[in-house]
Amino acid sequence: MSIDVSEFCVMFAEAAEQPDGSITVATIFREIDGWDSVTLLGVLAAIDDRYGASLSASDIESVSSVGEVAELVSTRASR
Amino acid sequence: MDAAVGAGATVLATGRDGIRLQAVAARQLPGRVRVQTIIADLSQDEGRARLAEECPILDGIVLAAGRLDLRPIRMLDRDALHRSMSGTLDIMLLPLQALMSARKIADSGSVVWVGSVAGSIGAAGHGAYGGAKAAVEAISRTLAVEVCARGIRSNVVCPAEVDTPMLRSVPERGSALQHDRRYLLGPGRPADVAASIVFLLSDAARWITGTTLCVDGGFTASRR
Repeated sequence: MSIDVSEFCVMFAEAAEQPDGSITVATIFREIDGWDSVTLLGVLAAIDDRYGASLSASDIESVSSVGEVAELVSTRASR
Repeated sequence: MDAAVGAGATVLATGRDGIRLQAVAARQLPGRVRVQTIIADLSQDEGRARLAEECPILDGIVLAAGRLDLRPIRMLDRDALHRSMSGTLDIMLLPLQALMSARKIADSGSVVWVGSVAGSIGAAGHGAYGGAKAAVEAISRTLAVEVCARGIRSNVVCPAEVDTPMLRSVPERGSALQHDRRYLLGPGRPADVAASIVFLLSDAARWITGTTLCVDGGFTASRR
């Protein structure tokens, strides 16, 4: 199921507690200010709530950018 | 389960995954019927009622279930909280309640709950899971008081992170575990936890009730 990428970035920014508009598909999520394991858990929870997609540890370990996460989510999204 | 059968017990295994149950039961020696199974969805009234009806009288019971939904507390809304609690606490307590109500726990029996160190340390994302596991410890202590007249004991085993499919799904923990020096004795295995459960089920633990056995490779004691 394809997802709206700009909406994904807005959701990501909110989940990662970053300013509106600060996240784009090119953003390397591990370099986000203050990024740590708690941030990651928040983003994964937000993705599950919004898209019904449960990403695994190895999924996340295999990608670097927000855009790549969006692509993974679009292959798993159920809503 | 292997540990219990190895110690000479007849084991009844239950859960909703029939395929996995049969596979585990099939691993025992053929001809020695030491593992029986009842396929039941313990999250449903029907499943619990059927278990309570079909179950023989038990000398021991191990309550081992949990739903590891990691989520920061700032995102733990009512639905997420209830899902997590019901998947961890209800799923252990309600089947026990059904069995006790049906008088399927023998006098001098032993109840062992699988808790978690997450119930007594702060671990990011573990608010609901840790909360449920901490609740288990309080409930077990209460149960110990309520059933002592029948010689029934209740105790909790608290593992830390053990190499299981559940742990491997946790981002950044599965692979980091090997090198985490807070585990004074290195990584733990399911058999390490099983041995403690079998001990608490056995007569060797006859003077132990209302307590928590921390099986964590030294994790909670370490200051590294």
